[in-house]
Amino acid sequence: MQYRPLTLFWIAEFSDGSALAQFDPDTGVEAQAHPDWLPSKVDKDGMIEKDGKKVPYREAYPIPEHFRNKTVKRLGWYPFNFDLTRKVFNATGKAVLPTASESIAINLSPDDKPVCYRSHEIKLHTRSGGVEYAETVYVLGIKGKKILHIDEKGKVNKELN
Amino acid sequence: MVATVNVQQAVGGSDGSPASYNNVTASTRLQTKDQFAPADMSYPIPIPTSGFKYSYWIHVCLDLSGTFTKINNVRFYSDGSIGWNFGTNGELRRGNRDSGDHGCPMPSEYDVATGTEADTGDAIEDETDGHDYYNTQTTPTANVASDTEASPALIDSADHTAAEKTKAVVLQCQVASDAVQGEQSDETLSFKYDEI
Repeated sequence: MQYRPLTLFWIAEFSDGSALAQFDPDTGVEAQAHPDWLPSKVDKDGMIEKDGKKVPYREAYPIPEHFRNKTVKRLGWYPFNFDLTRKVFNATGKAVLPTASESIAINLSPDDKPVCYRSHEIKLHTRSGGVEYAETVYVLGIKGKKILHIDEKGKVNKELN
Repeated sequence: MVATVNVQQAVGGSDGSPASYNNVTASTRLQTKDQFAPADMSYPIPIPTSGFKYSYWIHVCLDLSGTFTKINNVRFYSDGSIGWNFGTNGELRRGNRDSGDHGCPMPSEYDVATGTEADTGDAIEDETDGHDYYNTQTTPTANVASDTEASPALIDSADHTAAEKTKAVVLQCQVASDAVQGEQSDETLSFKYDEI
């Protein structure tokens, strides 16, 4: 596999009482993440470099329909169970791992800008050969406030302020 | 969903147009020929009587595919110590830019590796035969041993939202006259990137 199987997936809870999971618990179909959760390098004119072109940020990343007119009040990373693992594989063809990992979530105020993404590492071994897809770090926090680095077991291994 | 990501080495072709991108699945060697994953050691870097000899430079990038919302912030680093015997002032170096990220845009700035086979590659910083994306920079190369997990080299700061290549790290060995010959030890070089 040319990827590291996921062990955690995100769930966003909204102020209207509804919630959205990265993978639909009934079908395993994936919902698009909010693009703002992974910060982009924006220049002073609000432009970003995307796929080789300079474009205004919001033009590059319209807010997905399922996030429009919604306010996220809680956001977190949660482990897969066996049932969802099977459904995700059937829906996407990609493997994810059921684990006994802990879940972790943060509460958000209306003005908070959530940060939620994965940091992947690939190790290139020069002589012994090949590449290794190393452990994924799950990042969660609030821009300008606390940022958590979470390992595949759901443990916080770094906290940045 | 998590993107499918391959580490690729671009080889051959002409400037701006590599002949091929090859998934790295076996050993990566820096030697005095522009070739991918050689199984043999036919093109070692000779130890010079004075000055330096160089490997041919190599371009290594990430190939992104599959479904993902955004990938950015591609970084590159070592464990802080390259255990190869390069001799005095020898090093494993990478192409370096004076500002912005340090990766070579692919394929537009790809510069086919040149030199004299079985003798030496052209130095990245060489004004005439060096790598055109780097050789006019004030500091055209940086020591990979200085790129660490805590302070990695930023290779590609742009956003990627579709299947494509990231910018490439351009690597080259510099070997001095007091280097010790022989096949060198395994080294681990790491890429990191962020995805949602």
